[in-house]
Amino acid sequence: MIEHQHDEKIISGYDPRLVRRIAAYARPYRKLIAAAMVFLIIATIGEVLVPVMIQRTVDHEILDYWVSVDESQAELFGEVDSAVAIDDRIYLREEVLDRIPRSQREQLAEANRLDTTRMITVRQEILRAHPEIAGPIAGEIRAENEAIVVFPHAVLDDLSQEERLVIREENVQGLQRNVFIFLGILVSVLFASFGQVYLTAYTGQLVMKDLRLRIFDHTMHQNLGFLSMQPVGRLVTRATNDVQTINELFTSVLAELTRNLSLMVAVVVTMYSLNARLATIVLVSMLPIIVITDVFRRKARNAFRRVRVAVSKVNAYLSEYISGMTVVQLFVQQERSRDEFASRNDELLGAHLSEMRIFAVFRPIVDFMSSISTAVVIYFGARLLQIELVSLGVLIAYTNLIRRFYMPVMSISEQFTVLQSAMAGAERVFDLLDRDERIPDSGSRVYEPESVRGTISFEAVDFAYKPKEPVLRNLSFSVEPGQMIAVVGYTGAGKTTIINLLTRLWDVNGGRITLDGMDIREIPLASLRRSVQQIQQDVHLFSDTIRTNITLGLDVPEERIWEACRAVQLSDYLEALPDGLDTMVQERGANLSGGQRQLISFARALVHDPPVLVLDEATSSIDSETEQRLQHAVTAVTGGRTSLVIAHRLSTIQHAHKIVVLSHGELVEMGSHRDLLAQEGLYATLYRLQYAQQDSSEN
Amino acid sequence: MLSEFRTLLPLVRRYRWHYIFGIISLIVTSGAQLLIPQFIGRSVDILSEGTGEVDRIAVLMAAMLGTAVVIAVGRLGWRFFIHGSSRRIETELRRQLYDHLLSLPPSYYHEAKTGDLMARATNDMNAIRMAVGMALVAFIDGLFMTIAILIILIGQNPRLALYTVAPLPLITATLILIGNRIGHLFREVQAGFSHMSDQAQEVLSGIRIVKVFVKEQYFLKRFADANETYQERNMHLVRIWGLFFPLVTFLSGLTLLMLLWFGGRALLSGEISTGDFVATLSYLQMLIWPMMGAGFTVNMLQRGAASLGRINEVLDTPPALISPVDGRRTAPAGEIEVRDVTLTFQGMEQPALQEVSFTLPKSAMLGILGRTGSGKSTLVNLLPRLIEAPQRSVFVDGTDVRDYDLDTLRGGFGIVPQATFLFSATVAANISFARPEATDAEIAEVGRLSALDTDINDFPDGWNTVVGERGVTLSGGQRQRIAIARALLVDPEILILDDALSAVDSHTEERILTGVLNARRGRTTIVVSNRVATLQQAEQILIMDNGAIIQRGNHAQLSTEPGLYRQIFLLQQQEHEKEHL
Repeated sequence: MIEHQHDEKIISGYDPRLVRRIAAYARPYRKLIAAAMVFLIIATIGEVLVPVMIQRTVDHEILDYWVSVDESQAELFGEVDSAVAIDDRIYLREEVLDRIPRSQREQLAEANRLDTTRMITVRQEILRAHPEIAGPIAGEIRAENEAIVVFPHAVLDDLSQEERLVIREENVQGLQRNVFIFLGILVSVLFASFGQVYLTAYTGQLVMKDLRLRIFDHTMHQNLGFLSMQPVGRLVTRATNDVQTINELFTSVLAELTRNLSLMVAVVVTMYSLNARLATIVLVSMLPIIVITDVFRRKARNAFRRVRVAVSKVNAYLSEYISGMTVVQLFVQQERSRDEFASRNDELLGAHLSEMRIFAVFRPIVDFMSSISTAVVIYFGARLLQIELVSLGVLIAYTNLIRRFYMPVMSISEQFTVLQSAMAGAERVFDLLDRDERIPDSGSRVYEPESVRGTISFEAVDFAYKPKEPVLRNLSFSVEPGQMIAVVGYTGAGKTTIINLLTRLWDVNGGRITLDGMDIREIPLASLRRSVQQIQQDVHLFSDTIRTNITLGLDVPEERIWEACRAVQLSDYLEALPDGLDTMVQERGANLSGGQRQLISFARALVHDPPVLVLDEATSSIDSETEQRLQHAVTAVTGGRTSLVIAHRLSTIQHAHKIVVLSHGELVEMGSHRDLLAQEGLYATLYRLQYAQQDSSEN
Repeated sequence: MLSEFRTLLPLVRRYRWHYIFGIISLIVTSGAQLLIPQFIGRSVDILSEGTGEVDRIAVLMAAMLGTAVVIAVGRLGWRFFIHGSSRRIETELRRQLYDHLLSLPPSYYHEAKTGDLMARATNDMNAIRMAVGMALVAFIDGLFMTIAILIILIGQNPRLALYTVAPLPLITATLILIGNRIGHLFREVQAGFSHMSDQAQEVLSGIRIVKVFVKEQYFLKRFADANETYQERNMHLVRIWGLFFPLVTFLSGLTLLMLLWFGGRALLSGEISTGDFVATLSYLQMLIWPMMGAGFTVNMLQRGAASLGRINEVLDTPPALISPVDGRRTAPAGEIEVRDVTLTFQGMEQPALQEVSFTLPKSAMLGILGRTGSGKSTLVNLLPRLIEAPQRSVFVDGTDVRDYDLDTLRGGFGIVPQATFLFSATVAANISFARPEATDAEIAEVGRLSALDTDINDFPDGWNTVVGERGVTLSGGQRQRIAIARALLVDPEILILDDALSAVDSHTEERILTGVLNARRGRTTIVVSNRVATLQQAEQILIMDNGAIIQRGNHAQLSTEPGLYRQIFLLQQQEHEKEHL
């Protein structure tokens, strides 16, 4: 669906008030959000554990460097994971050396209490099982006890590939263990990140569903005065497209933005836990990206706005000129329209190109920054490594972490833009929800349709749709139970308004309308409308089955529907249809004739069986067979029921107990057909003009 | 599929230098990217040797940054050239589409839905742009990087390369598989969205019925169901779509795992150096994007071809009315002859016009009266070729309308159609639509003729009030009168008012017609109306029924002859008298 955005406001940024209102809709689902957050944490931790695992594997299994220190100095290094004591020396992993300052290390080395030669430790049983290797290296052994043999790492260089694998069997096993842990991490990240995406999307969908329902419910209950001023399309857009943009808050912000930000934080934390000094150096190299991103965000926002404006101009022009193409061709304005469109199209191109340029500059810069950070890590890392302040595994992990840090930068800046349009959508939606123009439903009288007798009385009613344009003036008349009243008059005399007031689609400005002696404003709205129902001239049909269009969801037995259809002579037509009552009505009743549509609306009224019926007869002329059916139907629905008919058919007015003649909102004549004809007034003229012809054509 | 791309060929050719430079930049960028892991790898080798040549590392890093500059510039270059051309091609194609729409006949617009044509000019254009931009980049970059990295990795250690690369094609396969599935689910979501919108649209249009039958709850439930379905379909999509990136991350993680296992063993055995290990790590991460790109390319090309198909469908629709190359270019003077026209629209049984003939001398007024659907509009639309008449049956100044240059012919007419269409521009701009150069005085003059002068005072911005903007909704009569002013401003040789005053009250109608006829003395005017008073001044009146002319004559003759005209005349006379009681 294409959204026409000419009336779209683009608001400048984040509005906490709007976010709080949206958050209120999310409150019922806070457990889902909490679960999503747990998944988020698991996934983020998992993702930064990947480089940590690489580091551990490289340092402990692949390189596996050991140094030795005098027993007396062991406590300098505090708690260590693995240490081997042979004779008076303790063998430690090289990485623990960064726990003491360089000067102290040099002192210890000079005093021969520390030996930084890289060693490797191998279990005795491995050497015992492979005497072919044990032999050549026997001379290189630096230390050994019953379990462990220690010799310099350099010795390995002299061995063949097979021999090395044999001697490092323990490392191979460690590698295997790490690979399994790694697989475990990958699987957890897979599930956790899917869980997070799924749960946030689910929450977003549920919140949007509630919001749409709320908007629709709210809109539906507004009065017709408000609704008739609003294009239906705009109202629909509020409940659909605008809510869709708010959903971006969940899919983009809650799912992506939090994920990206937490990943960046986690990367920094991991860097510090691996090596604080290197982390600080790298962090300094990363700082410029904050400034760059902020500059980009501003530029991108402006470019994005320009694109939006240009897109909506092109769309508005297209939709208007495609609809009005005939006018363009009639007045031979193709040449001009071509140029007008081309200039809007070019404007759009310009906007797109400037947006493209901004992105085209930003992305390479982010990548370049990533390279700078990598270079910084390797260069400064190398210097630290040289003085044994950092291990190779940590450096490798860092290059991986830097990638993970810069990856989200690009999407974060885009998510800010998305956030803005979501805000604009939210503003429009809440604007609608904040307007409340209902017909006050304050009636408290307990009133059931079954008990209605049906006395209607208009008492000095004044009404105007727009101020200063009165439609009804001081109108008074009454209908007795079971009577049929016909209202006649020229177009614009205010006939339809009577129906609108009686069903309280609008409220009177002056005077009052009573039903069984009670002011209709004192009757609960639903009771009133169940008691007084109408058949409209312009039949609105829903794209559903004929059955649903008759029952409108009322739970009635099949037999009653058929009864109603027979009464209005719709049944023979329905029986001829292959699907009968379950035939689908096409959009706006396109597969039904005007007469059939009318008959359906009669059947609709009969099924609902209201005590009072208001009927606005169709003016359109229909073929004579249908005409007869309609007349029959009018008799069927009005028979024995209090009814008020805006009459266009001769037979209807002839059968009316009383005829009310309106002119310019005022009652000019009232009485029976015979009496009024005898008066030779407006009714008599009207009758001759509009109905006499019908009379002659019928006879 | 490929045949659809024929429309693009001339455009791609026009921007070929852009593309060539773009592709060169792209390959330079990719090539330079391949060097980065080498710098890192060699640095690591130096480090693991433990000889501590920090200066050598500094040189390597400086070289790496230099390469990074080349990459940044290269990236900038291909984005400028390729994305720029794809935007330009999109713009150009949209322009072509609109140009073509301008030439399509009214009958086309009866069939086509505005929303659908809009979708072609926007959504489909996006898909095409992706195909000629991103898809191309992903394809070339993907191909180059994949081949180059595979060569490097295999050269380093064939066995390791094979093992580690193994999970990567799975990324491409996942993308293509998921892409197809997602396409299907996405359409379902779209359908759910339309259904929900339709529900809201239908209920809010019929809100009256809903209110008077107290069915708010029922229809709320219906909307809620559509709402629910839409939400469920969204979740079906999320179930697959949400799996997408985690799965890609997982699969690329698997290559790391393979590297750790096989590469780790190779390192332990001394088969490869630590630097090789680190470089392989970088290369593998570089391969992930091309592998995703391959999947995207397939999807983007499929979508682009489908969208191009929809664009070609419009472009291939021939303009039904062809203006003859050497058509008459002398403006019509206003003499009209229609010879025995019988016309049946496609798919209809009843002919819309049956043996219709009449002649109208220059500067005469013709009136046409008849019930709805009697063929009045069809008849007048034949004259400016809005509807195509059979050959040699409609003549203006003795020349078959088909032998006129189309623009010349239509330029001779001013037509006010039944359905008024105004643009959302100012009242003045709407009136001067066909003559933008008209002066304010001229606009005021035709405004006066159309009895707009009094209404204008009530508009907030007078002549500059924008039509259809919030607050100012014009009445049907005002719209019709603006449309009349628009036609009058052209001062056409032949003016056709096709039931153009139906929403104007009879008093104003009389005032307008008298003024218009006075001002148009010496030129031809055709008025379709059901008001006898309107037609009284016509030299000739045609009465139509079921597509045939059943009576003809002037007012004096017809008002005394029994028939439809007399019936209506008498009725309207009574009405008129009563109005003046």
